[in-house]
Amino acid sequence: MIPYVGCEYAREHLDAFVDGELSVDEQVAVESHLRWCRTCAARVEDVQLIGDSIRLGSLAPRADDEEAQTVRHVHSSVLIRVRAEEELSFGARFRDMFTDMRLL
Amino acid sequence: MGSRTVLNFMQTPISGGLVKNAGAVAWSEVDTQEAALIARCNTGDEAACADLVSIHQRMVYSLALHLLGDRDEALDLSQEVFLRVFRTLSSFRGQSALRTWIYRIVINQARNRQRWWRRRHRSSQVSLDDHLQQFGDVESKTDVLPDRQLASKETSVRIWQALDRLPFDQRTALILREVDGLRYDEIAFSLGVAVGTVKSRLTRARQTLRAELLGLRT
Repeated sequence: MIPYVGCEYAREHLDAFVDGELSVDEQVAVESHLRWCRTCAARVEDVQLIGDSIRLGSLAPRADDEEAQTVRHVHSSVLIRVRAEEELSFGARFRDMFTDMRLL
Repeated sequence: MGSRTVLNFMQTPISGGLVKNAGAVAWSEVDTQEAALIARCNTGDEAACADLVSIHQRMVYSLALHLLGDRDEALDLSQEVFLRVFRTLSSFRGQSALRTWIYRIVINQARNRQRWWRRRHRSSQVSLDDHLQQFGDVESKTDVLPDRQLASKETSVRIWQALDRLPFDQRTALILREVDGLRYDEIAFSLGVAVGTVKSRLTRARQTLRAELLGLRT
């Protein structure tokens, strides 16, 4: 049997409903409420529209973009910097070695 | 440098020797392949480090761009994030998927950076004009299908402008949910907060954006 839930309960759960984060029982209860409550159904549509709008305006680079190529440069830049850090730490170790020798 | 080049930057001197820190940990959220990659990175295997960057660079850059709104800053932040990843990977304990752990680093770095950066460089953020150039002219309202209200480019631009005005943590939660498709528990880990806090931030963020939508309709 599907439990009756009112607007107050439904509105508390609308975001999680849209996000698919409710338990099965909660999902069924909210769905049944939305069948007859036009106001809450409109709120769900608004939440979905907000999500669609955010994805539509997303700045994510496309695979064929020049920008995607730029992103690939992150790859080489990071490795170059990692190597530089490694060399720097070797230099520091080398200097430390002579510091130790001076102390002798 | 060859594919088997070994880097020493992740090794930690303990008791006079170099010890690998990818020790016995509970890799509950990490699959076998990923755990093997992490272990290789922790031995300083440069090819493994390159693989890790390749796998995650797009999502790191994308999130950085959405949080900062500036391409150069996002690229710079992406490099900082991966350097941070490699410096601290030995402390990763598999308490989340590696991806979620990296998200957390991106968010922390972006939060620190945007505090001062947003005040100084707002004019160089992606503007409405840039948006329109990227997505074309704003559609007329007659292009909206009669039986269902689809997201239009105009609505999208307005929503992103409103999103940019939200507090950092609300904006981040919503971007992680809507753009990256993270679950509530993943968002909670990435932000370092409870799941209940994620729910309330998402609700508050959407309420603000809904008010923007209502303003568009009137």
